Amino acid sequence: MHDQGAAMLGGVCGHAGLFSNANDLGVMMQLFMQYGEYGGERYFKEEVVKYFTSAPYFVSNKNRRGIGFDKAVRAGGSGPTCSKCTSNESFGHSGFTGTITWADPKTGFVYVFLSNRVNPDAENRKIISLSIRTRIQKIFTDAIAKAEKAI
Amino acid sequence: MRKLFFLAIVGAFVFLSSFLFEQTKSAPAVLKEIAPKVTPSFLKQNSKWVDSVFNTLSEEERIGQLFMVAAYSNRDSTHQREIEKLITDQKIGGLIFFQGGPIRQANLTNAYQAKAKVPLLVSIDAEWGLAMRLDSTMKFPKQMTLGAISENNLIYQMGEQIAMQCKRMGIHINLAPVADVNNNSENPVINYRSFGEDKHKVSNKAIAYMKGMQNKGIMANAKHFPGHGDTDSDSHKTLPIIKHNRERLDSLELYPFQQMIDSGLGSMMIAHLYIPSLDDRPNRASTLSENIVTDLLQKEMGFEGLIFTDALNMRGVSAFYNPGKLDVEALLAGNDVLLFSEDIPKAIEEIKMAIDQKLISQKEIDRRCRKILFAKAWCGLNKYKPIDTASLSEDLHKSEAEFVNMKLYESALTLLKNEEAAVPVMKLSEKKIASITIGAGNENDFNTAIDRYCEFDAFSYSLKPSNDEIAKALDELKEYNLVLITIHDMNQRPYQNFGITNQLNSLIDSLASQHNVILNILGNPYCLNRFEGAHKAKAILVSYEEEKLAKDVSGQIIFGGLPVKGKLPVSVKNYPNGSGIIIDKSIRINYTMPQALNISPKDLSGVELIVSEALREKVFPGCQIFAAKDGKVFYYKSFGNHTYDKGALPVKTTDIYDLASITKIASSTASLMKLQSEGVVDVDSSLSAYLSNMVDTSAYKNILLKEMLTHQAGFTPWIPFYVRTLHKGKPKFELYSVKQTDYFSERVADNLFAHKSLRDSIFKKILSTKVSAVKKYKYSDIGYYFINEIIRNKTNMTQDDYVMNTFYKPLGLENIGYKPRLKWDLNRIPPTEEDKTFRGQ
Repeated sequence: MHDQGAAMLGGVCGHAGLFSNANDLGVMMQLFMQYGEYGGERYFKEEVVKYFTSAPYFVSNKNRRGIGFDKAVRAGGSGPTCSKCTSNESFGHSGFTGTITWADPKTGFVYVFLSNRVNPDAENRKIISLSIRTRIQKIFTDAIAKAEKAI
Repeated sequence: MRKLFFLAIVGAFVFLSSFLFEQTKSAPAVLKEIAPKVTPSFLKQNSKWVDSVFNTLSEEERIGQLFMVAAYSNRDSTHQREIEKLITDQKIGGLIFFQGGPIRQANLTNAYQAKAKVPLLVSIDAEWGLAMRLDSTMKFPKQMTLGAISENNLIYQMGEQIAMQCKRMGIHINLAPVADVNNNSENPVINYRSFGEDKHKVSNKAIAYMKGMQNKGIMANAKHFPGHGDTDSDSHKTLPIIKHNRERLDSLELYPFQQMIDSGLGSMMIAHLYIPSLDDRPNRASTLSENIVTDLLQKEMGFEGLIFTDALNMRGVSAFYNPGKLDVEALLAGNDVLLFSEDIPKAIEEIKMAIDQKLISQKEIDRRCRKILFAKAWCGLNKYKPIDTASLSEDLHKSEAEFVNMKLYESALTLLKNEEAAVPVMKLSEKKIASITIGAGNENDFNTAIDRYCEFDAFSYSLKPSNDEIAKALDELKEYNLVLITIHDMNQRPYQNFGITNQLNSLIDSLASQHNVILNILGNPYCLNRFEGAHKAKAILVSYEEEKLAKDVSGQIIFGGLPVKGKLPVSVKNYPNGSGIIIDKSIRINYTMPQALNISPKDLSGVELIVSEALREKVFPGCQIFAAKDGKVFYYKSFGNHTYDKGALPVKTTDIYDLASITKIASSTASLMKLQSEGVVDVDSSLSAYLSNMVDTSAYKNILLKEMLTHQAGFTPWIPFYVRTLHKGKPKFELYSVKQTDYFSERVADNLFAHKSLRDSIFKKILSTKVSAVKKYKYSDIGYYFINEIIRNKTNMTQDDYVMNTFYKPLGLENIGYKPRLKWDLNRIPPTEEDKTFRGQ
């Protein structure tokens, strides 16, 4: 795994160390987006997920973050998502290795992008400079918006 | 008077308006039970082209137009020369294509058309699409499968798609649908080719299929008049007898044909059946009966369209008449098109003699010839163009067609039994699942489908398991509490009991007596008539066909990714016609196509352009992309390779990536939300509430969990702990070992294990690091070291065990987790940075 601190703890850590394919991470995001219910079972209380995916310090401190979750940038500036293409309810997180996942309860859209951009060298930052993850996300959100309009 | 121009206009208007209505969302109106009677539209055209062509034909050439000859695209040049000779010398009217491939058939069609004086009418049996005859083409469901579908609109859409593919192939008539009512489970030749045993369903579905095709300019052909459903013999081999009286035929067999006629059917095929109640002359097939073809079909039932014989080489007629004579008999009975004639020069001679003998008039021949010319004009042969073979293959596999096909299977699969709500499978954490494949290997599309939903072990057994194999199966399946059984390699026909052997029956019987079994039948539901063991299963899902889509959809249904909608179209033991448990909700994600969400695949083409750019610019060596809306996965692809090295592995959708900080939500935040839901943790409390021994003497004491998790606790972003564990760039021997022991317990790399005490050192270092008093948003990993401790303390489990047991296992996710090298083959894990300083890998 990439993170050295996580490696020193045997790979089991709170901030890094998890591995997945896009599907299984997608299911986790679907579980969050459904506020805790999936496969006929309830994992979290709905209000807990809503609380964690809110931005409790946005008003007081201009902090966009949710509790654990990253959130979309609300006014200007660059953020983890394509700009103005996700709602304020949306949430997700990106990863240093070239990953991102995002869920938007408003549109029902779950996005997972996984790569190993740090191979062979973590100094390769083209994924940011070329906005690869956000441009792809924008294509999906545009296509969804267009489909919704057509219905 | 049916031919009244006025009525035709009204008919056309109703037809058109209902067609338009079909385009809106809730509009099955095109499939009315009783439609206005209509003359087939091909007979309502302007006769200019027909007249001009007809006037160039000699009397003998007009006879030639009545023949439709069998052509193959998998035969040699001798066959091609024979056909060409018939085209140039006898001026035959058309071809019926049999086996071969699309490109070869297209090239042959162009060659034959180029030699024809009058463009040839081309037909094919494409009941379930071109794949019935041609390789490398799309297969749609067989009609029995379609019989299970409630939304006839989907069958209409299938008709359109098949028609567009026929059109692209230069085919003008699809010899479909089968309009026979199959009410005999032992029927060897119709059976699964019929929409089922209910005459109303058969009619409505046949009309839907017909209209879909005819609205796209392909002529439908209803077969096999007057009804081949209730027989246990095959007219290819013998002359089957239908013993029913006229009353019964009127009320059942003839019903769908009449309905289709009244809805504008273009052509009909006459079966080779012996039906004493209609014509009791010995060995007189319906094809050769004036009573049936002229009096019943044309005069009584009012059919004005093209009338085809069934193939004249079939034993049902060829056993009793010589070639030539047989053709004359068929003409005298009232047929227009003589299909698969065995000796055309001879037949033409015999027909000319029959004209001389005044058995039939040239005028009557001319009338039928003109009918055929009208059909040619309607099919576009008045403006003949050769087939363009460029991109032919792509055009025969359009995603719109594939989408319709997917919807058909999704709507057809039928759940006959579902004790204890076995389907959809719930409570995965309590299940130990075995997936048993009968009649195929473990690598199959059903297992691929369910692999996305659960962890399971795969087993496979033969269709004829020996006693030893049965004993072995019972033994190796002992520990499983859910057994999914999928039967492959069955027989669609009654021959050999639809593929169910006595041995297989014993195996299923034993398994179903001891286990919770969900039985998935990839074959004909009639097999349940003599398959006692099957009836002991907790759940029986009929998937009708061994097709990739049927396997994929059945896997999704069993795990609740799709609802179940199908209704059995025939009666089988314990389950009458119309049986089928409806489950209208899905509980897990569904794997589908963009069209299912009204998204045009074209609008997603940019994704691949961006990925190509990224691979070209070496942004990353490869990636996976997943997109879902409303629980429907409409995009899931992988691109590129694991590394930039030559010969590197290509990325698969099942490969496992290092998520890095996504760990924060998919593991830590998930855990905290669970503990918060249970009232065990409150993120509005301070660290001291959970880790007082550790933090109470530090500046961390009063930090709220919520502040850490929102990155505004004032923590430093990152501490390079590992640097202090190195000496001259190499790991210190007192802290690391190349062997795993009780002390050196934490695997850091392939052959490197860290000392337990490193954890304490890490926290010592954190606690001695300053906390800023300014609560400003600043991204930091540090808080998550504490979260990891809290989860360990509160659950008595390490965080990896906790998330595994609490989330990943119950969710059926086996491709997510910590400690990748213990779980997955390294070939499934694209590597990250080459770490030269720390771990040397």
